[in-house]
Amino acid sequence: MGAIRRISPRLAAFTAAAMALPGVHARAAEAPGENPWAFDATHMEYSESGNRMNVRVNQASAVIPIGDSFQLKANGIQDLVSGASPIFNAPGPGGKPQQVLTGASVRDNRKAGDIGASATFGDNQFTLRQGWSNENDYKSTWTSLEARHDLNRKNTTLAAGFSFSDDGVSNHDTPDDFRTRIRRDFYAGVTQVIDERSLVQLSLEYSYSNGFLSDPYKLVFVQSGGLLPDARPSQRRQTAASVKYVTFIPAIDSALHATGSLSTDNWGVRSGSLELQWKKKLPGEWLVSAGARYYTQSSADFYAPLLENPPTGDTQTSDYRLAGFGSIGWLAGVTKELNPNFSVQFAAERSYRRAGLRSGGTGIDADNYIWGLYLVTLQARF
Amino acid sequence: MAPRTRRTLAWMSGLWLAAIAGCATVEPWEHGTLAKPVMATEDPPHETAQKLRTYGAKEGGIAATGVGGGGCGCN
Repeated sequence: MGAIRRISPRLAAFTAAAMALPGVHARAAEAPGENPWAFDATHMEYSESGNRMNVRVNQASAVIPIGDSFQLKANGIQDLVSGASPIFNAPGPGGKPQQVLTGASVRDNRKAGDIGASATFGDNQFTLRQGWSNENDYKSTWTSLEARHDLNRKNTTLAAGFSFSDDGVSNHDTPDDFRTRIRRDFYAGVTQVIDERSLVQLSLEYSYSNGFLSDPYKLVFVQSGGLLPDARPSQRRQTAASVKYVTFIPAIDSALHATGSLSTDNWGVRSGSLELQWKKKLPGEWLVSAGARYYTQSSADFYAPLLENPPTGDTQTSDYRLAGFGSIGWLAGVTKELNPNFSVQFAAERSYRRAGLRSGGTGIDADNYIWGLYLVTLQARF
Repeated sequence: MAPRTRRTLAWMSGLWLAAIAGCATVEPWEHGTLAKPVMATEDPPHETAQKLRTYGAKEGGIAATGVGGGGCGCN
């Protein structure tokens, strides 16, 4: 306390600004100290047009500081899923493919959680997490390790991470027959301060999955007769790169966030996205944001909405998520800081999927739909 | 490593080097604007987690957003 009394107000303000930056990767809004107790609770509602899926999510998490350098983390999630899901496409009027849905029969209750610990040593931070997820027909156990390093007087942050997920997939007909799916993710990123009011973040990710990667509930309609099960290659290699540019524009007292992302994989799916967000702080401790997101992908090499004859190979899918399509959506958010310890946040997003916005391959208008979500979060920091 | 992956890495490295080359040294006491809440590079963790999970369940591509998380999101 004595040292604080001796420094000038101007230097104190500079020091406070610098102390608010434990690393340019970190969130800047964590007010009460550098290593606060943190509790977050969220409720989310997700729904799709055409009386398809509805998901209600409850999530709660806590961060418990131990001294100045360590944190323990715990997170719990419950998903309540209901509604109808596409199974396959069948020829409709004029031979055009039409979706065949499950009816409103899908009902699932997923429970997931993870625990973790973070340690900070000087300019280095390490985080280890262990997680579990359990639902009727899917079990997952995963481990992740992340590291961050600040350098260049905190103008540069390097980040790297690895995760390993060991999953089991079954279906309602054979609920005890779990087939193995393994996934490994490698991540590397760098955040660079460009000048006093802008920064750029570059990220790379590589993901390798193997095992049973098909969807046990999807089928493929063969016009010469019969239905085939969804069958995908037993290995998938995905690579993604993204660039985020954040700049503060004094003329409008707002920040602009622009994020571009590309991905490719050995299944033939190539995707790209562009997201723009505007964020502004308003009097009364309000923070508002608004933005738009564009996404496009090509179809997988083995995707077809319908098959005339059984395929000569051993892979086929009509899954709408492996079709060619694009989407345009809007997103918005409002955060109100009630006092230095409590804040409430509202966020919403709505996305319009269109086959005509695909970046290659095959897509069908029957797969067009709209999804929307909103979530409310209460945050406490002590 | 596939040629496409090598090209992507080369592009990313070039972009980063270009960004670094164009950067002025910003002293810690000049980080005031960068420390504003509107400049945070990450949204609140629950919002980020739920949105990424939604994208992952509904889209065929992936995004370079970090590691961790499990579960199906199959429907």
